[in-house]
Amino acid sequence: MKTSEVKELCYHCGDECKHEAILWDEHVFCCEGCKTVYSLLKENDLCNYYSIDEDAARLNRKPVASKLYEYLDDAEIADAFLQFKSSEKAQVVFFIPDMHCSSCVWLLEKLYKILPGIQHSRVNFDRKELHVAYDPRELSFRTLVEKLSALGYEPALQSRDESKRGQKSNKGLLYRLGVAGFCMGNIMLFSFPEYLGMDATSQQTFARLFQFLNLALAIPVVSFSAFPFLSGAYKGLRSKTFNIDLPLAIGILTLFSRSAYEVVSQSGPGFFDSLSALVFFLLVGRWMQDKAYEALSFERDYASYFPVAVEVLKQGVWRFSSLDKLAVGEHIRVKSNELIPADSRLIDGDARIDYSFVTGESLAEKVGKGETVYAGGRQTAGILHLEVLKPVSQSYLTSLWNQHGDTEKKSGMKVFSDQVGKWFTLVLIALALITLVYWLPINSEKAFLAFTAVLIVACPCVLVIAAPFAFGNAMRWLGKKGIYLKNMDVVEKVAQVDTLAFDKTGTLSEGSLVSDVREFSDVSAEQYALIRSVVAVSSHPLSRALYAHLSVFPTQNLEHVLEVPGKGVEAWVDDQHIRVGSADWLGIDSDDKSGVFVKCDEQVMMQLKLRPRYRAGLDAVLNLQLSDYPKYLFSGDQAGEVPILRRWFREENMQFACSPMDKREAITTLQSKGAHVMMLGDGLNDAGALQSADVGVAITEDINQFTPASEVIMVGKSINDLPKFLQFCKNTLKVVKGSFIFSLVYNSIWMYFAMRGELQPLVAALLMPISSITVFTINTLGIRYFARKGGIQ
Amino acid sequence: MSIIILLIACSLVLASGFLFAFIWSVKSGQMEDTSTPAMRILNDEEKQD
Repeated sequence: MKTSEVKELCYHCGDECKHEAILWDEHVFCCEGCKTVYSLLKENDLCNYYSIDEDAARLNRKPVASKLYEYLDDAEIADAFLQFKSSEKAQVVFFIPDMHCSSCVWLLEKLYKILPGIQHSRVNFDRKELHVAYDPRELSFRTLVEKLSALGYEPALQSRDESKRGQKSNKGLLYRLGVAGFCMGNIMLFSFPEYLGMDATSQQTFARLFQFLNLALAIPVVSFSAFPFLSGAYKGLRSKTFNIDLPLAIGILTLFSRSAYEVVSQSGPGFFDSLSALVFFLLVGRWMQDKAYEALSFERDYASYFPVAVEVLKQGVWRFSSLDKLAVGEHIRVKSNELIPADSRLIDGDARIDYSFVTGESLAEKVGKGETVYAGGRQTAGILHLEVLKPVSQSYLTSLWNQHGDTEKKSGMKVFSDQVGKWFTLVLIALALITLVYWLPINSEKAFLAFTAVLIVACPCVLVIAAPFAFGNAMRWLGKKGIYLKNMDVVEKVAQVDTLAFDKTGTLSEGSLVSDVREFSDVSAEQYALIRSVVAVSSHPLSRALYAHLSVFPTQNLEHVLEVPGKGVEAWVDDQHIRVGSADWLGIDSDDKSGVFVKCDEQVMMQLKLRPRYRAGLDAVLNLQLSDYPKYLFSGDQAGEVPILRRWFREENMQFACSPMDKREAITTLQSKGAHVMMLGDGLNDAGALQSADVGVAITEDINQFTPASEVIMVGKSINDLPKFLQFCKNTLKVVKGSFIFSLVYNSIWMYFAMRGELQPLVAALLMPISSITVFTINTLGIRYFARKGGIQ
Repeated sequence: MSIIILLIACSLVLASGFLFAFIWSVKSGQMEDTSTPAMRILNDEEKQD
């Protein structure tokens, strides 16, 4: 698979060495940062890092060196991150999204070799967490964070409460599962003689012994393992609602009391085996539900986007203060590339605010003194001096999240199993009562037996087991495709979607592409190469696009290059002054000022226009595979792209220059016409729409990055799998419905016998596990079949 | 046949042992993270000089 062309790959990060490569210690590095990490590892004899996992080098992130962590020097702010602190020991849990392979685990657990003062560090790879214990006398929190960032493991700083919220433990469930498993195994063992037809008269002692042992083993199953179901049903009853736990609790309690009665009255062996198996399978289902995607968080709020601390003017001195303490009227300072934390008035500074985060519009907006800047904007020029106008929790950005705080908004779409569960409980109780009333005058003992038999046979384990197994399996298959669902209910919601709404930038398109080049004078190949070398320094999207456009030209390492944030890049080469940037900055007076201009000394050389680069394969996906769905486009940008977008969307279905509110309203309007809308978007400007939609899909290039709150997180390239995703969810629902019908028919047949009081206890005891296992098999195999057939693999 | 009673007692004691081993493992946090130890074991300790 190797190409003949030999590219120099950086020894640390595996990137192609674009500028002049740095040769150091017999290895090649693409930048100083990578070299620094290597030398740090080398110094501490940790070069094993590169040999443990072959992918280590290929996936490494570039180290982040320039991040400012000054605010962590403030003890109050730093302490908010610590789990525990005493004079000689401090503990902290970091969430490190960039952890990616076993080499990372190894290196992060060897931190004590690099940093004196670290007592020990331990990684939880699934959760991407690093637990560190260190000595605060030897190591400051700031140094720790800075060192991690310098190694390329920039922690996503979360306050203590936030990180605790993610750590909900499922230990209780595991204990219950363990006990249920233990009891089930032993009860099955003691029930075998019964299955095989042990002669109860000749082996009286053993039969009795086994029955009492079973009874003893069943007590912890009911009182401990089945406790969540019983308490769930009780809570439901107290709030006068029928939930799915209620029929289960009825089934469990009836099984237990009838079995206990049979054993004590010596009338039969009871159903302890069915009881324990039922509880065990229910718990396994619940565990699967908990286990899925514990590392991914879907409930991110504005706090995840904001900085942790901000510089506040206090008694004439700028000091870092935590964001929650920020009050109206305080003066704050925001540096270049920082987010504005609260709606404020501009007092001083050259404000060029990039609101792309909030509105999707990527051009920076110039704000004059005395005007208002809104939270969520990113300053792109110099330092700003601001006066806070509104508390953080009431700013424009935050209100996007909060104004529709009605979390129950999705009630329009009824969750299938809950509804059936409710209906089921009512019918079941009615049938059991009819049986009881019918038999009571005839034979009171038979009446009791028939009544309990009805409740046992009808126990809706299918309702509870089928959905978790089917949806859990479906989520697992989809996860392999880069589509992550928030919880199992989402599968049902997706299956009902009949209308699709898209955002443009970042969803249909990825990055930018140079579309049009106007040359004002002859540009030589050397000059092109020079231009490419200049823009190579900048990480701005427009520079990236230009850099990619000129990829045929070689680059050289330039010494005097300067990036002016929000304006452009300039360089001095052999007495030439080359500048690449906006028309305003270059002082160009032209009718058409859009795009990027290149100026050499005083001569304007070229103008480059950019257009969004659409994802590959959209034609096939949107026009052929999704032709049955009405499709809408809600974009925050101007309407310049209509000719291209017309291929995919009907003219009347496109809306441009949408504010976040407009997007949300457009979705609610569709819903009021009865549509079940799936919204696909990426930015914060879509957050409102994603929440209002029946299913919100957040598109991201990196699943560990922060995304707006949504039901589904989808990796950008998976958008081509959207038709498969929709179809697969529909099929999954079909499988679940199929297994419901199966168990309904199956249970009805036995119900007939139970109501007539003719069901043999042994037969009843065998029926239930068989039904559970059949449902389990139908769901697992059915989902697997549809996953293969639907290309989800 | 009464030996069976003894056998049953033995098997129950043995099984309870496993149950307590499981409970202990959950309590000590071994079930919190099931994939990192599998990676950790691959990392050789460097030789002590």
